[in-house]
Amino acid sequence: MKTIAVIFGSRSAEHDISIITALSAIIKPLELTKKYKVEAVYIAKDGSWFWDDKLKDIKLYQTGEIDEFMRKSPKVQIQFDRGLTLVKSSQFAGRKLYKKIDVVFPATHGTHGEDGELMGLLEMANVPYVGCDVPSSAISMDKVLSKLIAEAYKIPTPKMQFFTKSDYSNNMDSWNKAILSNLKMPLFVKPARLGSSIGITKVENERELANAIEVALHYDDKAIVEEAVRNLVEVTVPVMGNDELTTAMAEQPISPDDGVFDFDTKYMNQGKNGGKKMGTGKSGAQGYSKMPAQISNDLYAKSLETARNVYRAVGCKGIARIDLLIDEKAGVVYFNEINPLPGSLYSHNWRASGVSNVDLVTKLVDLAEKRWTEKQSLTTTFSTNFLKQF
Amino acid sequence: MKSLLSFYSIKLPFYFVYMLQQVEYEPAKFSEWLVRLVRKNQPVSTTMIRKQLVMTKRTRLVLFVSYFYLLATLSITLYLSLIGRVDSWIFSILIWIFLVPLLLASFLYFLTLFAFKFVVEPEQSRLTIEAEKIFAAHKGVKIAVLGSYGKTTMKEILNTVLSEGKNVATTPGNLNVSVSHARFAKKLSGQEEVLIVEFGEGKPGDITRMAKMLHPDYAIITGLAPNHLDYYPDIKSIAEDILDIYKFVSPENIFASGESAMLKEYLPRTSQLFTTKSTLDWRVNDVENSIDGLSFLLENSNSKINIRSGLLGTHQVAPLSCAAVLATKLGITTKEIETGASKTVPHEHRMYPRFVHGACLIDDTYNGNLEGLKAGLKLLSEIDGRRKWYVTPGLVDQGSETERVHQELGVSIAETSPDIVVLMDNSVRPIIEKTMLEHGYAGELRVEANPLEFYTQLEHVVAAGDIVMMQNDWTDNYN
Repeated sequence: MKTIAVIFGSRSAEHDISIITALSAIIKPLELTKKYKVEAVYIAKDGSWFWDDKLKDIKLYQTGEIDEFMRKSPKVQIQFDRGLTLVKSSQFAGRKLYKKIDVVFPATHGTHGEDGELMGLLEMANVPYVGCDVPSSAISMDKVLSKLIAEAYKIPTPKMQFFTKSDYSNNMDSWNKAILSNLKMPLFVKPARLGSSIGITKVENERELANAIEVALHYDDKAIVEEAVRNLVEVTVPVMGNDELTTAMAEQPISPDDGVFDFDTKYMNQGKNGGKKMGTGKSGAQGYSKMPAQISNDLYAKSLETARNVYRAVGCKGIARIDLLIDEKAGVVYFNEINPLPGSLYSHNWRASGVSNVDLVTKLVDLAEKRWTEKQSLTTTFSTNFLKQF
Repeated sequence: MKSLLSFYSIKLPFYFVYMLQQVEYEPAKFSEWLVRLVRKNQPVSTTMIRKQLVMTKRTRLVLFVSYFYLLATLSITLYLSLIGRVDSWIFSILIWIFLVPLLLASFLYFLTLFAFKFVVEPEQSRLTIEAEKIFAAHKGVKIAVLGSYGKTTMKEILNTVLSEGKNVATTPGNLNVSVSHARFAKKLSGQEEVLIVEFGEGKPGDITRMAKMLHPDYAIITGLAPNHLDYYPDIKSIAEDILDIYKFVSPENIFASGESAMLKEYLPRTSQLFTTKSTLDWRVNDVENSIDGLSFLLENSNSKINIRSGLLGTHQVAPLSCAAVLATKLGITTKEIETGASKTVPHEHRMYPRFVHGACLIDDTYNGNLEGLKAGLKLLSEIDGRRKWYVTPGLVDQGSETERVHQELGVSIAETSPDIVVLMDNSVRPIIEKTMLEHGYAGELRVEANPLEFYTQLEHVVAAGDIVMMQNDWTDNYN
């Protein structure tokens, strides 16, 4: 039986969301396959790592007992031994526990995890891992980079301006002028590398622009300003695969009145309605979206195709979710952003598309192993006489 | 070792009392379970898999008595050691510990035996005598529903259809023994126009006892299957018991299922049959079937009745048409019959569809006979779905027929060929599995060690478009 380590938590604004993704969408279905031994590895908000079966219980986090657990439990160490081994003290006669990991399933959303940092560690360990690799993760998390790549591949994106914090603070007036002359209102101002819609502001006039940029630069040292799409329909498309791609349903979030689909709207409106709807499975998990998206067949097909094109252009692997903005009147599908590790793997959408939770995680593990196997055939080291000259 | 140690858990009385609750305090079934547990070397903690102990007054009393008994025997042992009647007090404690499970199990067995003989049975006898008087005086039409399977469904269909034109009372749920009939009789107002009583044959003589109490005017026999072969020597004796109804009801008022091949072997030649094709002089036409229900036309030379029902499966055509025809005999109008039929819906755990994340789960977990399982497999083959699942632990109470019945089940599964078959890890699983594979089953086979975990985690394994047929559910005393 293979051993899979599910790594979740991390030093990120999406720490709590990561716990849900790991416990409900990954660990439980993996265990139900009866093919894997699943190890839970938790990264606390301070960056400490823990490894224990008790971490699989949601009550540990809900009740706050996790603090007590972390106080009493030994931290985990990682051994790089032509793979990855988890090591911790057994707290008994100085003995240590070792567990060799066959596959890692990252479930760390946001910074220090989804942005490629964790993937870098796993590449160094040369262990198979699920999902996007280092470059595709890093690019996906950077709205500017991903849009520049999309533009290079002739994929429509909204017109934009972007700058670093130091750029803007040194040349505030000229940046504001450039934005106002090159872009039409309304605008969206965003931190370039943050997820879950944190720090996003809609700007309707010139007066609001500076403040919105200040908010964005509070969260990141790079910001992006882009034109709002008119006659807007927002759509998101989960995609899975390495070379051969499968798309789930194009899903249409129901936007709130102010048009900003922020953290609260996204995550805090579930509970009583979310996840418990029975029937056709045509509502999103939080009950705030329509599946399939209510757009014309032509736009639907274009959305799926755009999603696949973006996925390939950025070099995504395993799974990702592509957010699109549609000008319904003009019939144009714009790329908005990529989520390289969708919350709860967007399993509600995959399930409605005919892929059960168990099948989803099984496929993702298979894709991870396949990619790793292909990589082993590459040559990355070779002998030279370089050192002899010194 | 784990199994042995489990008998010394402080929770031992809980597990024993839980099992007593599951077997309805029948001493014979309790001892059978215990013997099976010991033979299979299973930890007693595996007992409470499906349900939790329900703390009724009786349960609390038995638990209290059990712990009191343990404490009392320990105290007596200690006392005897201390006053020197036993040579070594350590030795006596060890003997007590060794005998604890056996002592407690025996104590509970004899306690329930005593209670049954001297308390429960006399009380039941008094109730049935009273009930016989109530039924004799009651002016309503009395309909007995009996057979090895399908009784409760037939009863519910009759109730729904006949209630459109008559004041009907029925025995509740799937309660079908003499004492429940007696309790039912006590609740009657006397104003009811029709009484529908479900007769459950559990051991020889049951049908006669029930018929003597009720004196039915009509009887509907739903089928014959090798159930309860723990108490009947063979299928012939079950048939004889069921057909004792002919001593109490005139043959022109008895409707028997022509869909049950086993039943037809024993029926008198002139029996009135109801089938998916016809009932008496009424013909069935234009049958349509889907996950939303079924419809058909029932017609004879004089009339037509359009039947629409929320029930699933073409096998339901037979009981629906029987209910409609009986309704015409009782003077209910065509419109009333059609309205009543349209209100027939699946009941919980009987071909009951529910949707989970776009997958359709057909809960048929109360189905406990081979004909019913075959009907479920037939329904599965008739309905369109992205993936078809078939989930079953097999059948209990099959006695000497166990091997044959599960081989037949294996053949039926192979012929239906669902995409995924889930069997539970129990004593009959190897028979089903072997037969399925021998008959060319090429789909995916899964074996679940923990049925409760499987049922409660279904949302993770199914996806939109899946059809999952779940049939029968083994109670814990059969694990």
